[in-house]
Amino acid sequence: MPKTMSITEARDNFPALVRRVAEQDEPVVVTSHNQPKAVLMRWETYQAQQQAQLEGARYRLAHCVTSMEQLAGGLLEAYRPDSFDLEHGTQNLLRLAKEAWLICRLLDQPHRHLASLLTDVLLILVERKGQLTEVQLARWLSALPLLRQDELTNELVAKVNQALLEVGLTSIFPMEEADVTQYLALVEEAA
Amino acid sequence: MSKPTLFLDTTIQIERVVSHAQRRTQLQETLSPYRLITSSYVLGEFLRTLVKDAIQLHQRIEQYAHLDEVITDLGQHPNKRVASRMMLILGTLLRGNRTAQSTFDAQTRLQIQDRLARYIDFGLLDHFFSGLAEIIDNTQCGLARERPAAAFSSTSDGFVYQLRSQCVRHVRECDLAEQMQSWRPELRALADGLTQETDPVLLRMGELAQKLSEDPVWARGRNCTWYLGDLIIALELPLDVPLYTTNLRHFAPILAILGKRLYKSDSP
Repeated sequence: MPKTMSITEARDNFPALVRRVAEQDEPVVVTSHNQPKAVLMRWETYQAQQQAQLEGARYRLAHCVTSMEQLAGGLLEAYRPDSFDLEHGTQNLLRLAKEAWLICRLLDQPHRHLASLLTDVLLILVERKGQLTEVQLARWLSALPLLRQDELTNELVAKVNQALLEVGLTSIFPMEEADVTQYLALVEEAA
Repeated sequence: MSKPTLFLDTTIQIERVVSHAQRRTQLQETLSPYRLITSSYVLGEFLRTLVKDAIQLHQRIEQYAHLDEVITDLGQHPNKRVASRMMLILGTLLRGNRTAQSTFDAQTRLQIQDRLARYIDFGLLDHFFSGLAEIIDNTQCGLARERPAAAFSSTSDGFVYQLRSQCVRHVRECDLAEQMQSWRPELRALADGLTQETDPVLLRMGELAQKLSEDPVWARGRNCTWYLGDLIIALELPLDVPLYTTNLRHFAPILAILGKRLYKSDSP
């Protein structure tokens, strides 16, 4: 059980508390009204935990990307428009992409952007009862390996966005026609 | 044979970005025979509407733990037009999560937060630039060169996006005044022609044109409003290029006076 300390006690003995945590490498839970609110821990331990969390996330992401590649690759190989396999497969790709996005929440922003982009283009398509064309599926599949890269930039993800847009896969959620009209009216009214 | 050129104004650019698939396809078909152009001034307007709205919405989602609090905050926003615009964007994003189990759960909030961040970082602007052959930059609009940037905010205790969307008074950061000087004959024609109009907006534009023909420097700074924006777009439109806009009510009489053309397509 980690040691606990009230916020008042921690405040009154803060320098000594920091010294003890750093030297003894024992985390201290700080409570407020008897409820745990924060943890004070040694910097190196925190870093190690963060690293372990990051490595765990990367491992799970790689696994998820492999599943998507297998599924999308299979759909592409036996591509049949209007088929149950394509519809069902796209739904599964969407589920996996969302899972990848959740994992990417633990990584950096470019990874989050890419996973959210790959999820949303499918979500927009599925919501609108559309289906992936062969070219769109191939383009979507070609972006997956980027999720495995440790070093990813927003510029690179923007290029993926443009490449998907080129084949008609939009990542911007469409407004209803009446909403667009209303939005434009509000823009013009601002005059 | 080269394609004829078509100038896209802010309303069409917004439509191209946010419209649903059917309208987007219709727009694509309409636009495909043309070489598409727009201007940096239109880009500036796009930044201070759609991109700025996305930033303001993102800030609120960052600030509040629950989406119902965001909606309450928008309801209390002093500028009802801006609040309504943000509500329309939020409604669209929430609709995008209909396939999720619950609309108002914590995960939806995070998903919308990430989605908006992506919109702000490159999504909206990528769509803006898509398919454009040229961006006319007569006005050298300073705001068009601005891009959203993340900065730490002590009020929301996290990173928020910032975008300067208003000119700084008395600071020269565009060639608008110089352009207005060169457009003096057209401004006088507009000032004379628009006095006959009954629409108060057009009358106001006529008064603006008169004021600008007398004092072109007045255009610079915070006086650069949407009234003025429509005038600028009409003036910078090349003579041989039609303008594509949804705002026919304002542009039709202005362009008629200037001897310029309006593109008329099938209405959505």
